This record gives sequence, structure tokens and C-alpha cells, in this order.
Amino acid sequence: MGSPLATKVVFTLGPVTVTEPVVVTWGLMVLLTLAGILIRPRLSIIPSRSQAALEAIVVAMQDLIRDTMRRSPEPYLTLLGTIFIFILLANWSSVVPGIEPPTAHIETDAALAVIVFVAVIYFGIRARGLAAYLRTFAEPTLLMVPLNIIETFTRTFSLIVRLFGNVMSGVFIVGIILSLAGLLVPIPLMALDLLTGAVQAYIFTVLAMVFIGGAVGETRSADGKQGDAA
Amino acid sequence: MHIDWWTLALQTVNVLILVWILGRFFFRPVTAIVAKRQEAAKKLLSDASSIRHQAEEARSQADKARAELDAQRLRFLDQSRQEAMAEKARLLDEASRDLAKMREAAAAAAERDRVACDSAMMRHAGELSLEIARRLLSRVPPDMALQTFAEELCREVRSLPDSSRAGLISMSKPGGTIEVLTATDLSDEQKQYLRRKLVEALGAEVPMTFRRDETLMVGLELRGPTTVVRNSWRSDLERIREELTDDGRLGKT
Amino acid sequence: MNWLEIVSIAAAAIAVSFGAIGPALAEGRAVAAAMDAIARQPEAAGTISRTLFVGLAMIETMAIYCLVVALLVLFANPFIR
Repeated sequence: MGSPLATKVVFTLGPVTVTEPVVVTWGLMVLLTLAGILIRPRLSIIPSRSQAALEAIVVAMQDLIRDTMRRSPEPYLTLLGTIFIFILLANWSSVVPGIEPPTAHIETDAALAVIVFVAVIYFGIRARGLAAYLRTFAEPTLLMVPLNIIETFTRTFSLIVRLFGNVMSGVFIVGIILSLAGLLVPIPLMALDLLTGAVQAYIFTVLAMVFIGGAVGETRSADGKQGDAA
Repeated sequence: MHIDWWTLALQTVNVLILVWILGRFFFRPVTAIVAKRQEAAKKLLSDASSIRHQAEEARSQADKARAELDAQRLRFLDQSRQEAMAEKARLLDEASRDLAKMREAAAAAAERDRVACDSAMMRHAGELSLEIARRLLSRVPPDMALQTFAEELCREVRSLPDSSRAGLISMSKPGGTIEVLTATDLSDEQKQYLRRKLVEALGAEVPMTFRRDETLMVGLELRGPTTVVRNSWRSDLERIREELTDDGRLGKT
Repeated sequence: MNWLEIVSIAAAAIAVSFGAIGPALAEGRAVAAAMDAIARQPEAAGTISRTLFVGLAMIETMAIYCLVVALLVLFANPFIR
């Protein structure tokens, strides 16, 4: 049994090495794009059952963003919603035999966390202006500036490791069980993986939401969760 | 721990592309359609509320009209009741007046009847008494009281006013006669006696004829052309009867 | 089998075992507190259980950290070779 930390290279394109998670991600992207293209022209004022379900999901996301950030969800919905849907589908792609979830590899999680990191800074500056955003680092006192800067990186790191550790450990444990007893035994663990995947997608999205909300302002409830995450 | 930087970069790009794709094909259309539906629902609601408002207004107007109608009806009712009361009072008044009139008329009729009855009874009683007297007298011999009657007659003749006595005499002069009616046939001496008595009473000689008239019952009657001297039971009875029937206020009926 | 490998395996075992104790206790307390809250306020059960799940996942992350460290020690030990 190979290391769960290693990534398999599928092919190389000149200097670019394309690894397995990238390929799986492309597959997911194609899937989601096809779904979007299929869904888009079928949207109507009078919703069908599936459209109502989709709308319920979107509206639930909007409500969650509004509740957490106490702001209009419009600018954040696309980013946060995409992150949630992508992580969820990536986590659940372990159900398909022979596919490792992209999130079980630290590069994908790092990519997501970096996007969140950049988004926090971008939305913070956009909402407050550069000076005001930088001033938030000296929020309680000036002494907190180094701690706040460190926290910005550590919480990104914890975001990476949380998602990576959860998904990778699930895949790893299922792999170990599979090597010990082939039939039926891994099923409860796989079910647990699905639950963990969904919860982790939710947590990742909520934490991103909280970070962006903290940068944008108006909500102080983010601090508790940041401290926990750090 | 080895991190493949190419993978990291590729995944970042992938996720960003995915963000764009989903934003374009999923989130924005869905939120747009949700917003559109909310707009439509809001418009529908506002339309419905305005329609309801109109309906309420119409209902309130209808209520007002109904209240007006009610008031009018009450007014009419009141008016007609008053009219009915007045009519009733009038009718009652009339009826009581009629009743009084009728009662009066009835009383008058009763009085009349009573009077008629009384007079009828009187008449009957008179006739009955006459009948009784007649029957009783029919058993009396007619010439029994001739002398008494003759005396009486003479006294009456004497008590006549002079003019009528003279008339009685003078009228009989040119061959006329005084008729003496008696109830029975008189014998000659009776006739003589009567003639003597009458001449004595009249103070003049007049021709006399004697005639029998049974209706006199008892008594004498002297008839000149202008004067009649009655002295008989018939005349007495006639007078009594006259008095009896005349006794009632409305006699003669 | 040199000493380094032996120490690494022992370290991984210790990391996972001790790393599991804290989160286990914490999860127990969290669930107990959530049950208590739901018993007090059944109408808030939805919010409480949602928050509980998130909190449990957060706590579990600690154990996962330990697992990641153990796996690093086992599979990506920078001192071996």
C-alpha cells in the first residue's frame, strides 16, 4: 500500500505535470458545466420539482450567508457556493470506484484555501478601503498586529489541513479496511466518509464565510471560530 | 511531505474557472429567476391587496346603501304605522259615532214600538171594553131610559148657544125637518112625549121625523141640517174610545 | 530496522492515541451539552444539532491533526533517507 500523501502523475505536458487530482477536477468541472448548461435554459418562473430543489439549495446558501455575515449575499454567493459544491462533489467522488477525491490531496485543499485567503483580502479592501482594512490588523491594540498577521496564515493552514486530514484519513482508512476485508465491510466507513465529506464541505464554506465576513466587517462572531481554528 | 506546485497552480486555476462557470450557468440564473418570481409574487400580492381593497370599498359602499335603505324602510314603516294609527283612530271614532247613532235609532225605534204597542193595546183595550159594554147594553131594553135621555137631550139643546139653537130652528122652517134618531122604534105616545119635550126645549115648533138607528144602542140624537145634538151611548162610547186612543202621544196610527 | 524507524512508529502511535483522548472527552461534553440544550429547548433542536455537527467536526479536526502528524511521521518522515 502506497503512501496516502503521494500524488500520482497521469501525464506531463512539457514542464507541466498533470496529476490525478487535476484530472478528476477536470472531470468534475465538465460534469458541473454540463449540468449548468442543461439547467440554465430550463429555468422558468413556474418551477418544476427539480428546479424547486435547486432553488431551495441556493436560497438556503443565501440565507446562510446573510445570517453569518449580516450582509447582502449577492457578491459572495457565487464564490462560496462554488466552493461548497466543488468540495462536496469532490468528497463524494470517492464513491466512484477507482477515483480518489481531489480533496484527499493537499494541493487541492491548498488551492481552495489560497483562493479563500485572496478573497478575504480582496473583499476586505473592497469593502473598507486599503487603509481601513490594514487597520483591522491592529484591531484591539497595536500589540496584536503580529498575532493577527500570524493568525491570517495559520487559519488558512488549518483550513488546508482540516479538509485534507479528514478526507485523506477517510480514504486511507477505507483503503486499509479494503486491504483487510474486501466485501461489504467498508460500506459503513464509506457512508461515514460521505457524512464527513458533507460536513467538511459545510465547515470549509462557513469558515470562509466567517473569514470574509470578518474582513468585510460588521460581524464580531468570527473571532471565536477563528481562535478555535488557529 | 512533498507538495506538487504544478498541481497546486492547476487546481487553483481549475477552481477559479469553476467559480466563473457556476456563477454564469448556475448561481446567477437561479438567483435571477428567484428574484423574478419574488417580484412577480410581490406584484401579485399587491394586485390582490389592491383588489381586496377595492372589494372592501365596494362592500362598505354596499353596507352604506343598505343602511340607508334600512333607514328609509324604517321611516316608511313609521310613517305607515302612524297613518294606520290615524286611520284606526278615525275608524274607531266613526264606528263609535255610528254606534251611538245606531243606538239612538234603536232607542227611538224601541220607543216607537213601545208607543205603538201601547196605543195598539189601548185600542184593543178600548175596543174590548166597548165590546163588553155593547154586549152588556144589548141586554138592556132600548126604551128603558128614554125619559132620562129625553131629559138629557132637552137640557143639552137648552144649553146650546142661542145662535146654533136658532139655526136649528130656522133651518127647519122652510119645510125642513129635524131628524130624531132613536135606537128603537118609538110608540106614538113616546113620539108625542119626545116632541113635546123638544118643543119645550127649543122654544119653537119644528117638524120632526123619527128614524130608527140601532147603532145608537141606547139614547137619542137630534140632527138638524147644521147641528147635531148627540145624546146616546154610541156617542159616549165613541168619545171614550177617542179619548182612549188619543191618550197615547203618537195616537192615530 | 534502525532506531529512527522504531522511534517514528512509536511516535505515531503515541500521537494518535493521546491525540484521540482530548477530542473524545471534548466531543462527549459537547454532545452532552447539546442534549441538555435540546431537552430544555426542543424548538431550537435544528439550530443546535447543526451547530453541534459543526462543532464536532471542529473538535474531530484535532484528532485528524494528530492522525496527519502520525501519517507524516510514518510515510513522509524527513529524517529517514
